[in-house]
Amino acid sequence: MTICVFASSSSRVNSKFGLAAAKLGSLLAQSGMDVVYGGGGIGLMGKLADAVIENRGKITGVIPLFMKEEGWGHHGLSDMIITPDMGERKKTLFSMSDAVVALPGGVGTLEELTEAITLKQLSLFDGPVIILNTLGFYRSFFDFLENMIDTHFLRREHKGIWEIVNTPEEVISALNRKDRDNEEWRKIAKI
Amino acid sequence: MALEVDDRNFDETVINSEKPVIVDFWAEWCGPCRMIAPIMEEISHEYSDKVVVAKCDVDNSPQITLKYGIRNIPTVLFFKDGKVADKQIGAVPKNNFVTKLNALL
Repeated sequence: MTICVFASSSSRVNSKFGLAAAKLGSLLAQSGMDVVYGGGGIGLMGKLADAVIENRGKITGVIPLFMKEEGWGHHGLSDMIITPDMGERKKTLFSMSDAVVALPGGVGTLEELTEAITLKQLSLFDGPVIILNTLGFYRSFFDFLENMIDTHFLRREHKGIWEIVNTPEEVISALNRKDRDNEEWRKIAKI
Repeated sequence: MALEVDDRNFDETVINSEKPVIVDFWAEWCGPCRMIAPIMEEISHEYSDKVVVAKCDVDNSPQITLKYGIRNIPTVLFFKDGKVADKQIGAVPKNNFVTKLNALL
């Protein structure tokens, strides 16, 4: 099983975010799950990758050429895929993944997460989309989604697309859940 | 290819058809609808001389959607002689559609 992790490259954030990213990297490696991610060497991306490597897990970075040239890539990765641009990076990441996990991040992470939700809504991606809500970071995003539902811009049954967890351990349990195929919204949509 | 029908041409294409018609009620935002769209296309080719296959976008056809009480999509209605003869709700395997369709022929 290959897990795509989207996360921030900022290293100026509260260290608890980095600790959660590192914990997730260790747990994924220890669970035998392969990781693909944006290839970054710093911030939560860097912490995640360092932890996977330390725990002898398999991790592949997917990075656009210009970022690689800027030196933003992780230098300890044995597998790095270079893409021509940001769009191709995301497409490559999705095509390699069985599940998506979003950690806290900025607008880049947010658009990766919302694309995952959109693709799943359109049945173009069918794996779990798990949001790791470290320190309640995504609280106001969930309120926004709720507002979209209340105002009928988003369908209530589509709330089943994403799963919210609070700890790295819960990410692993969510990834191991087997009962997703019975979700009604996959077969039918209310109008 | 599945014919597109809406509030304006529904009667002409579906109700007045001499052949049985299956109508796939769908919407662009509906993932499960995308899953059955290729099945509908296949059926439209395989039964091209016997059956009319149509698709109706519920967001563009509020009157027809209301008239036939469509609340969930995909819903496929099977029409014979202008009347609903059978119905299939949800993204189900092709065989379910084929069985219902063969019963009409």
